[in-house]
Amino acid sequence: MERMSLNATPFSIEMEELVIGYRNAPPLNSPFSGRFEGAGIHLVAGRNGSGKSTLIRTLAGLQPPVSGSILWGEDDLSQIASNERGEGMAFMASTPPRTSGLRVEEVLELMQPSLEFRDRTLQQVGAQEWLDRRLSSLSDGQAQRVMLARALLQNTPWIALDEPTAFLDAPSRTAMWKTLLQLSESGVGLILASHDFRFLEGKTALSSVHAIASSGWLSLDRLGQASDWESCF
Amino acid sequence: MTAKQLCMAIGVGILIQGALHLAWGPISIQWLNALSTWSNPSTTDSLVFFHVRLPRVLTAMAAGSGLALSGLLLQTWFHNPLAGPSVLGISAGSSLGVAVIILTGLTWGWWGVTTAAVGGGMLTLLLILAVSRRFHGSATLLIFGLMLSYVVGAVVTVLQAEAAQDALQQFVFWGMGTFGQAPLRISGLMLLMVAIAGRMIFLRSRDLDAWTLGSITAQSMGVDAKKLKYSVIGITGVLAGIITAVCGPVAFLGLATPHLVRLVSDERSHRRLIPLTILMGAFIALLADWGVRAPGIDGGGWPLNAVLSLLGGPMVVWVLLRKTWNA
Repeated sequence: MERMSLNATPFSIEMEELVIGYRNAPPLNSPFSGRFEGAGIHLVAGRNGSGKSTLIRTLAGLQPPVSGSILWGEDDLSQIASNERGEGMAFMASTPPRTSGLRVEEVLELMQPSLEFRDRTLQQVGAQEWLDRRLSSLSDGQAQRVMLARALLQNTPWIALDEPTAFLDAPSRTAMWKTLLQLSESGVGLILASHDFRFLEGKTALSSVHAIASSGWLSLDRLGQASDWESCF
Repeated sequence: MTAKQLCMAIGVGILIQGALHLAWGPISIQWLNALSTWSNPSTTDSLVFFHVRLPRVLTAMAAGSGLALSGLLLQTWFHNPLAGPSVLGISAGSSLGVAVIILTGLTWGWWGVTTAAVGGGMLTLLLILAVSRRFHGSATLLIFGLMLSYVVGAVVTVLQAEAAQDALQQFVFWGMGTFGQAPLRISGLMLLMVAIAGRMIFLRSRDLDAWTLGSITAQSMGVDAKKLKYSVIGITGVLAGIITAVCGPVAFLGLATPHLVRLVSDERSHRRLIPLTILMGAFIALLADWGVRAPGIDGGGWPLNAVLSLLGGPMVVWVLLRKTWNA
């Protein structure tokens, strides 16, 4: 069952006076506003503890903001029901699940894809040989690829990725970035938080670069150099 | 063996055990005699059948299934292989409810005791859910459950010290656990509730499967975490509470049964795990009841919790060594 959003272009995502963080803890930032628009890769950089992961989860509607709001297109994210939210944006966590005993086939079946869509996606991420394997029997890099396939099968205009390469070895990292670049060219919008962004330097698929800096939300020159971006944190 | 075949095999095991439990006992009865007077049980045969053996078999099945299902749900919800109604202190919470009613000499009858047990179990579960957000790592949750059990146990001990002699005796016997105390209509009602709960949560199989991928990932897939949480709390609290009220704080069944299922089956999707766990729970409970009935006469054998601990303790250690959670 493929959803209607298959060919939908990514809606705009607007942050208004946004403060992110957790209950009973000091907020992570002073209010900022910003916007993500269009397909391609949108990079969110920043130092450890700056709130990148929290921002990614907040943008995906998986945790409420402390204050301020997020608009998905015209709609206030906090008013969107969980099943509709799942049709707008998929999410991939930085660590793959380690205790799920589900087989890869069963994980993908949760998204109810057509067989053709499933196999094409598996090929795309290079996971076609593990259908019968248990998720818990795969290495982190392998499991992360399966989780990416799962997110793709959600068939959403946006995918949010929290440190997609954080726990991968060098060859797996390169493979993951290549897959993500390919994806971004197929019309999907990717918001991703990462430290490991040198691979993206100078790539045309990079639509925007932002940093959560101590001074606030910075939108950087996307064609600049990774070392320049880092100096802005 | 496919999941279906395994379900059938366990089902046959339940039927055989059930029939043997009904047939065997210190008093030999004529089945036909007993069954022919079901509407008006007055002969010895039908009294033994309808008032002693049948309720006992149905209670064992309901308690085994219900606790096993609760254990499975808690293990999935908390992403923790060692979760279970007794480990997390839910049974202890129910015990406190029962202790307050019995030991303070309130005579509220069956519904009073059951309501108190469900209330106590549910409160404990809500407390655990409230604090579990702050816990990282599975050990913390279990230690919290253990501490909760200690504290609740201490309160129960204080109540016991203050209680009247006959109330105390009643409470101590209840604490040993038994399937042999419920009247027929209660045991039938319990079985019906387990069936309804099983059906309800079966419809959320996909959500539960998604939950094993991590709570955040599951929510990103459109799973309504609140709804799922209330299903898990509601079902676990009500089932564990009622079973505890009727059978006492039954040890190990909730924790161990899902692992036994994982040991004999490769299935990990909840669509398969739920029916398998429910059936396996009934099977194990009937099996354990032989240990209670066989050494003595009806209602006078070894305490159920002693039998279950003798079976369950080594099994959990074995599970830990085999690591079936991951394999």
